[in-house]
Amino acid sequence: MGKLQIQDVDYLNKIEKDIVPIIFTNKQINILKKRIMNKKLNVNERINLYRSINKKIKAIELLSNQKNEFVYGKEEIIYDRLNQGKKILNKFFRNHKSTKIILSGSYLWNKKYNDIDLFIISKYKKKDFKKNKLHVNYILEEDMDTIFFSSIMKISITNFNYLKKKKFKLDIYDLISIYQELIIYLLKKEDYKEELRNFILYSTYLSSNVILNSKQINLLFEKIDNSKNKIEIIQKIMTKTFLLNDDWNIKDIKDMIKTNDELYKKYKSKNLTIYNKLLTQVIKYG
Amino acid sequence: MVNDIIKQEIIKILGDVDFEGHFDKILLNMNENTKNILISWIESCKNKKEPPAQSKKHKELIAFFFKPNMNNIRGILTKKKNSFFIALFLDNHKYYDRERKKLGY
Repeated sequence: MGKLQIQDVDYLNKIEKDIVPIIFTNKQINILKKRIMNKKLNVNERINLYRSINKKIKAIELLSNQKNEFVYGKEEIIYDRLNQGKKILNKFFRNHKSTKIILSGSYLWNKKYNDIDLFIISKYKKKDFKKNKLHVNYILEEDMDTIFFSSIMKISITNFNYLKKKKFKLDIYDLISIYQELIIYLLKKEDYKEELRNFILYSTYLSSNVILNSKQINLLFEKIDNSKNKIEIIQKIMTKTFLLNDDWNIKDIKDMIKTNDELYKKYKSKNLTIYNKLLTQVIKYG
Repeated sequence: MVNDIIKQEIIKILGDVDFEGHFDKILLNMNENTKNILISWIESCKNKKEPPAQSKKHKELIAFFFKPNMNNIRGILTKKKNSFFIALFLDNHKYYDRERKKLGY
């Protein structure tokens, strides 16, 4: 949202009579609301936003010497890390003014951590980099709409106010993709950490509409990772998620089983039998 | 030049395939060991020793995933079911995620 730091329509409605027409015109406040709600602006509205509204907001921020610091999931953050984290964020902010920055990850809630994850919202694709313990990740503006982003924001320190997104366009087929890859890496004994984390995040959202934070994901990750029956647990989670969803149909599942059978004849690959075992269970109980 | 040799080697194994993603750039920065891992993975795909995955979007598409243990490189080799190999995508992790979704994985 460019330089705009106001991201809460409810709050804007609450203070509307105090700021209209003193600061913003009626038209401008409506543009601001549309922008916050990600509604499409016409050309005139866009011009008004960039030429006038944004500048007014910036001026107000300067006048009030506003410290752009927002903490999410404070109750989960280790006390010392909160202050250290704010320092890191502000140090970075000095060099990246008018950029949205997020400090998140295990550094905030785990005594033992590997990296300090800093996310920078960027309009363009940029290469991530590491500097000592600091891991700087660039996220495209459009990726702020993802469940992954929503998850990292749950325990974070940022320089902008984040409007929580509650609904995501995800379906069981998105989870199947992650599941397929996860099973392959588990069987091949390759690194599966990222896929397992995504699997936990997606399956929980699809089965209970809950977006887990990084600490919760880690807890479940450890549970599965330390188990001798990882695949069995994953199969159970998959079956449960299928059964709690109705965005799939029997015909698709039967087609998938058929394709896997055909592939198995050629590849004799264990991932296909595991996948079919799951799909057969789904048909049986679904 | 070095990239051309490797591409030729890949074409020799798989037949005519497209090279997608920042393929040249990734290959240029790849160490010898990873290049060898890539070639032997391609041979495994060709010899049906790699596990395939079906696409949710494209019913005729199957894919194989390349994930060397080192660095940020990821790859996807796509194949038409019961037919020819289509493309070898090689890129860093971010672009890989986008490609994977685009292909329906």
